[in-house]
Amino acid sequence: MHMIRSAVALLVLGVIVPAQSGADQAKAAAAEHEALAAAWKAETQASRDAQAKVRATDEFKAAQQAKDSEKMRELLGAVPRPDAKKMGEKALALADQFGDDGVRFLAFAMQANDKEVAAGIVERVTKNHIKNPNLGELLERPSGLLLAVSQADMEALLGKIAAENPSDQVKALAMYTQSTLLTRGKPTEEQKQQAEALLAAAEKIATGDLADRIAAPRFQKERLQIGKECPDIVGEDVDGVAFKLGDYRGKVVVLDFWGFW
Amino acid sequence: MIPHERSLVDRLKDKPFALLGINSDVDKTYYAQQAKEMGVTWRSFWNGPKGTTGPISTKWNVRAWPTIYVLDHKGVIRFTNVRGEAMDKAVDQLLAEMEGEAKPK
Repeated sequence: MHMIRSAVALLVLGVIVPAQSGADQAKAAAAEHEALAAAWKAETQASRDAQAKVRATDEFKAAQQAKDSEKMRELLGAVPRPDAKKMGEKALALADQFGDDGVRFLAFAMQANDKEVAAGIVERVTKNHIKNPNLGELLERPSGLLLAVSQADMEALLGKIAAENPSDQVKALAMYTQSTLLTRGKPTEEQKQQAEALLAAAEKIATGDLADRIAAPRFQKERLQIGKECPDIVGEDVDGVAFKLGDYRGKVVVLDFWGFW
Repeated sequence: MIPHERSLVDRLKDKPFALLGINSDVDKTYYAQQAKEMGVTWRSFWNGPKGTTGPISTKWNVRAWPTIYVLDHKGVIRFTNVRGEAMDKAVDQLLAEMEGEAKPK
């Protein structure tokens, strides 16, 4: 009786535990991700600070005055650089440790901008994450992966994701990215047509910001040309007050996309 | 950039003219501080916390900063990416056009 009860308990636990540990695992992955990001930020900041210190020395200023670029390079070269490869490798290891939740580390590892790390990312995406609905972040800046794979292989990988991923946003992003790859440099007529077909397909399923992004080149080509009536902008000013471009009809307007940064 | 725009806004303060920014600073506090320091008096839409990848610039396919559009009083795009003197000339031309329409010869 006792044994049966504990067996039942175990069975019940067996069902519950993985679900709970799944949530715990996602939480643990988020915490690890935060720690990794903080460490990387500190490392890059320390290097930047050290460089600024070198730039402030009399020796560097003298080299600068003398336009001695070799000396300047030498002085700056002595400053330890952030170890991007090490960061990338750590992120890859974390990706392996966390399974499906690990995909966020692959996205993070993109920042390493390193050929071997990029190869590691592609390998893991191909093997484990084609159908991962959280693959989107990684597809945001895919050009880094071209360090490790040919454009043709990258296109094939994106095609596989577009076909097999269950998330419409990821599918759309994959197709959008594929189309931008196709039209890099000097595309042939066939590539241009292919890219347009991909964009049209992506536009149909994308929502939110992504939909705007996909539609942007067409929006510019159709609406933002000299002689066209300017589309309205509805938004808020920097003080949080709502207003729209249309409020300024009757005035000559200079629209300036800018920032202090 | 900013000194030129400031003088343009100053010079045309009594004319039917507005300089409107789409500001893409991530941090509004930083913006406020810089705006005060640099004497930025004109109004800007805020492009949101994602900065240069915010919603307005995304929709408008803005890839280069600054990107400039000059609109006439009817809201038609008349010039793009004019800077410095070229911006002054474009605005003066459109203001003259507008006055010409208001007072037919």
